[in-house]
Amino acid sequence: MPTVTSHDIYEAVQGIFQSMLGVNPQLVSLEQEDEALHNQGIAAIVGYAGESDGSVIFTCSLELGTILAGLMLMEEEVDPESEDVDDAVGEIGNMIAGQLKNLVCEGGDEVQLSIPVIVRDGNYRLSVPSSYDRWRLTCFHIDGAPFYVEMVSSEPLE
Amino acid sequence: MSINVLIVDDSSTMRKIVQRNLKQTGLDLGEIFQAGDGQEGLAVLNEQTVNLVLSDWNMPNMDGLGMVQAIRANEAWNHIQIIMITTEGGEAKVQEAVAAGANGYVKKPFTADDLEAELASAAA
Repeated sequence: MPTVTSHDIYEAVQGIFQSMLGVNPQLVSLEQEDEALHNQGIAAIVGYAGESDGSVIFTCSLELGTILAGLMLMEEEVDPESEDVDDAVGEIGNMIAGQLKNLVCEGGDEVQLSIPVIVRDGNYRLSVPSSYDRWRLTCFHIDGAPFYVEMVSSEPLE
Repeated sequence: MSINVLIVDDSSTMRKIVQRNLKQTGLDLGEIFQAGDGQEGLAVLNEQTVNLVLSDWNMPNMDGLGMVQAIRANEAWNHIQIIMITTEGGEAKVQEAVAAGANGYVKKPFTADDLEAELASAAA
């Protein structure tokens, strides 16, 4: 089974942001983390299971989530409380998870994705079993607002 | 002749993106219908005349593959072109969709150019 590297994760995220949102996120840090991820406001969690299993978590502030929804929908005004924001953030998480599962399991055919689950209203920790490897990617986006992508895997990450 | 299109995806955001990209392809578009899963998609096909279906794979209730199989099981819908637009990017998945009757396959993330190229290939 191929080993997913931190650079693979960044490339997958970068490709999605460039092609679907027309922006190029700047990488700030990329590290293996033991600490639970602290939700910044809105998060999309997509699980995968099959030949390998794990989760992909995308989290950002509600303000940034609203900006991203506006970029995806090409709409200047998006209500932060609307389902459009949940749906757009969920779709970003879904696309990132889809790319990463193709890396975890060559071709991705023996791994199934869950539907994206959205959590809102921040200020809580997202924990996973300590036996799983986890990479956390921090990117800056518009006006220095950060977003995080975390990959949690039953397979070793490099 | 203008083409009536059905876009099937459980994400309303993705349906809007697909519709926007579709309008950039230069196709002579007629009506554009939307559905949130395969069952809703089949319901639209029962009520409307559709020439092209653009469908996600992973959806609740009935997934895209199930919908493709149901469409191909109905002779009245044999003329419909079906393009899958999905995060399922593996070659075996592509072959599975084609074997079920899909005419083309676009992997997310995608651009209007990707969609246009696949539509041209499927029509050839």
